[in-house]
Amino acid sequence: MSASVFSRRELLKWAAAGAGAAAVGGITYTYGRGSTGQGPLPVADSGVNGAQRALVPAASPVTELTTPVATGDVGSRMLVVVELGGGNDGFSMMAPYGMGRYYDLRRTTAVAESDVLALDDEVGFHGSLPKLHARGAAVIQGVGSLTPDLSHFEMMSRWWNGSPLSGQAYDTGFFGRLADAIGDPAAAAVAVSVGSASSPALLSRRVGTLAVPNLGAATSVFGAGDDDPVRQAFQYGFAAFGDGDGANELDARIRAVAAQSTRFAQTLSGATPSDPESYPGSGLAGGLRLAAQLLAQDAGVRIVHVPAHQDYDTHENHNGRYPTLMQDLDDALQAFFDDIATRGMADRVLVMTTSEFGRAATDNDSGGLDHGTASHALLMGPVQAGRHGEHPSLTDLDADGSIRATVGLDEYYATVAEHWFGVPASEVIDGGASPIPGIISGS
Amino acid sequence: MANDIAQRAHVLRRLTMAPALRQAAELDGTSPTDLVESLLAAEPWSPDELVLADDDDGYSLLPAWWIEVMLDDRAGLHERMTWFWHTHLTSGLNKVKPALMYRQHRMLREHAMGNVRELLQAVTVDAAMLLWLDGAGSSASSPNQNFGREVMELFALGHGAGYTQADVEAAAHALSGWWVDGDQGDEVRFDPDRGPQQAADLLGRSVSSASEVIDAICDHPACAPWIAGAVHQGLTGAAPDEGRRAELAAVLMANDLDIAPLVADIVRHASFLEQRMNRPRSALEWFLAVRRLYEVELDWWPLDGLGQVPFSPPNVAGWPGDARWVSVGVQLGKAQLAMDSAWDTATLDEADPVGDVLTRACLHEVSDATTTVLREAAASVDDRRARSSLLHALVAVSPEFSIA
Repeated sequence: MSASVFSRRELLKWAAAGAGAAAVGGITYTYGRGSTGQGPLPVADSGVNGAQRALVPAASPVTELTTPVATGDVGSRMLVVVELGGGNDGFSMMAPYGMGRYYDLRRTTAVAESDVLALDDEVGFHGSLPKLHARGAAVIQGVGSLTPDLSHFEMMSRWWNGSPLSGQAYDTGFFGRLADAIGDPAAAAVAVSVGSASSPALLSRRVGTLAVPNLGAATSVFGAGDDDPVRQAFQYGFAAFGDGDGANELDARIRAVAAQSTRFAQTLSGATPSDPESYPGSGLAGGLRLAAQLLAQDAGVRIVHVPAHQDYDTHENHNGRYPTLMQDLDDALQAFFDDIATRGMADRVLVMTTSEFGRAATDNDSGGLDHGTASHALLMGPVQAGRHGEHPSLTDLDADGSIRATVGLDEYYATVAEHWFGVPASEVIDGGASPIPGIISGS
Repeated sequence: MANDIAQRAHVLRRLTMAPALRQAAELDGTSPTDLVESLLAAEPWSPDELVLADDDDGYSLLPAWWIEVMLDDRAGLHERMTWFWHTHLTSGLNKVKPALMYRQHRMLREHAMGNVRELLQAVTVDAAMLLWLDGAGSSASSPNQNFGREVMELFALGHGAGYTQADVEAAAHALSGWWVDGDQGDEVRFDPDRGPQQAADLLGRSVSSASEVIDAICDHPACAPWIAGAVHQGLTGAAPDEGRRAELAAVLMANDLDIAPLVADIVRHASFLEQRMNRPRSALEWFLAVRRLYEVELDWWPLDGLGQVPFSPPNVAGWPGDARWVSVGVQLGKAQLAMDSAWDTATLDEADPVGDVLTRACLHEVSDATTTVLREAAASVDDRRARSSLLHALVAVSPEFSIA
């Protein structure tokens, strides 16, 4: 089924033998891995104060210009994962406008130099990210796999699973394992995905994880009309279905979910809603609003996963569609960080982006970009803003003409596990991936 | 050993979109195998044309129209297969306008029990698909790979079936030149100047047109097993084991990729009646079953929160696997809809309201745990009307009602 290089058994054997630093097919990430790594690459001296070719528009309502310092209380730290579905083009989000080759590769889809919000004389953020540019973000450059696959579904599986090699390397999801490592099994949920169906990324063993589309779904059953005897009887029955023994495996699973639904809804019935007026109307903003509410509830939820639609799959009309995506992202993130600051949580919430792959190095005749490989990822919140890792080469492409990853997705994940949550990377990632230093304060 | 009525309910849940009110009980005297045969033999039903005026909100009307069609008593196995092909050969309203989604729907209805090759040929040059997977406007000089990849990965062969990136590029090349003429009724046209100027090597065969691409794919050894597995999964909720998959692929190939003999082989197999109560109802199936049970009009928009609106699949792979319908988000969304919509449901039998509501819902394999909860809850409400509403709502959120 999977075209991955290793079977699950081979992979486990490989990992158990401590061969994580071994190159796959004789190639290694530019960024070091494990004890054989060559150490961190110099971080570009840039960030919000770097050379700016284009200034933030004066009218831009930027409210927060100081980067918060992370709380030292690691046990109170939280994470929001924004999944940019469809394959986000790293070279549009942070355009290498100062690398001449960029405009050769991208005949119709390049970000014009005049539209770039410069970080330094090589790269700059897309012009529709003024708030992000002002607030600052850590850009992890060239994240992906050295054995890439151009299928959405294979690469989504790998990202959810936490392996650059295979979508079936683990029987849990990366964020499920992370939740297992940091969470309280007594909580109704430690990790929550925004949506109706739970994400494979949150599959866990020890603690509860779940999906919920909105706060209303959680609070309408419990916490409304509680003095009505019919509603009381309904609440009783709804909860009691969770107590019974299952007639078969599926029935038992449904009953377990009913029990968890009851506990989660009861937990949330007192949640303080965020002001809906302060968030834009996009789906992403709605997801981040729910994330803020869930985290602020302080009822055991430590990780919120926010899938942000599939629109990043810009096979055609990239330059018509991408600015809207960036503007939605910029506005939604700003509303979220404002909300978090108001709630006094700015020092304990980290936001990370994921995306299954980047786009092709060259554009097609539809003014679009087909599937590609490595892309850039963003870490936001109490982080060291600027470029991290090495920018992928625009000239040394792989056999399919695609970008070569410079940071493994496992190294990216290891950074969040070890430096944000204090969880040794080896507890949640096989293969010896090392965290990237210098991104999260104190690391 | 389940009795006939439970097996009839099972057949109706699997081979129609939702059983009608009390249908399993009212088919008294029909054996489960006779019911399967009558569903197989039924003529396809063709609903009246939907006419969308310019100022109509097609984004709202189109899903509402299909839901009503699915609830019609004439909608049977053919309707379920039409739905299956929509989940397999996806397109969606987030990228394609309602009139073209409707045109694609009529095409899927026409081929639902027809022939795989003809269906894939039709969908490849269907206006909605050309727009959904970016075939429209693709030119041979630097073709768009989206459809070329997904037709092999998702629609016809499966990931890892042996095709390469070079095959994806070859398919994209030979598929180029098609476009949708927005000035002339969205007619699909072919522009030879933008189409392939020379043959490309696809799956070991030389191809120079969209039609030849589909033929090469349909003749590939991975095609019949992939389609057979997908249809089996769609009708039973489980992938066939390798032996059974090979048998079904052989049936498909022996019949020149005709769909009806494949479907018949799946549903006549002994396992079809034996393997019951092991597939979650999808959000749409659950919603349709609630409509049948409640006998009230319901807006479809709660389906958005439940994660399954017809004509709006989440991505090109369609809706996620059955297991994901069992989730806290879905369970809480069901509870909200079930309770908030239950006030105008029928008044239940005074002497045995629990038995009455279960029969209405075609639930004939119910655990003691569930009936006990229903009885206890019913006993706590004195008013007969209120008790009837309560029981409808509780049945709708019961574990058994969430199973297809």
